[in-house]
Amino acid sequence: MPLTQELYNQIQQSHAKLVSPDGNTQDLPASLDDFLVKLTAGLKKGQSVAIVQNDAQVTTVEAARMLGVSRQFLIKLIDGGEIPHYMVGTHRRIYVRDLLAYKSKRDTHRRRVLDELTRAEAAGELYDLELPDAGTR
Amino acid sequence: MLAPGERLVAMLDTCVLAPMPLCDTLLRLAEEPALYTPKWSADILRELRSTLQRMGYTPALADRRIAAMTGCGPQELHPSLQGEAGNLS
Repeated sequence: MPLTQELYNQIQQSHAKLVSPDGNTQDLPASLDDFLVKLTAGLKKGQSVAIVQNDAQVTTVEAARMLGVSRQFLIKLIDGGEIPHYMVGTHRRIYVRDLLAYKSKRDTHRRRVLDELTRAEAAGELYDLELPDAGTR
Repeated sequence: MLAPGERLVAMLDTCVLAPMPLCDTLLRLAEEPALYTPKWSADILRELRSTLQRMGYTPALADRRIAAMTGCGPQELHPSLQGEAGNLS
């Protein structure tokens, strides 16, 4: 067997290992290793990471709390078609993956708007204007 | 991010929204990973508009600032807290 083929086979057969502080090791399945590498990279970049089951669902109350808005406002978002939902009897349910997709879109938009505002205020020499001395609380 | 119930909410009043360095910083701290959730009310925005003009903003520039802030800040206005906010000064 050529050397490269042998190396390749070894890599294919080798497993990532989880080493605990007490020295115990256990093999990790390749899929879990891949997940942990991505998770660590995300956390190192300062991203927030939520681990949810792919088909996890929440009520409108829980969804509102996750977005930091009121339930009425969340329902406006649902009715406006911003967040998909489905019905369980007479109750609305939302897939967490849809909620997170909306949140990520919203957060990206916010950052862009704030960046543009900061640039415009700096360019227009407004950024460093100070409060008038008196009478402002 | 997903720590429902543990999320801190802070009401941002005109005095911290008017100076752009403060406003900018407070809104960035509310970006993910968010330290807190900011809120303001229609009354606060109304007061902000007049305070900005006393600082030297033209009405159009004050409106631009407020439009951008509502685009990157709280999505919904807090019910007016005029009474309480007046007592905080």
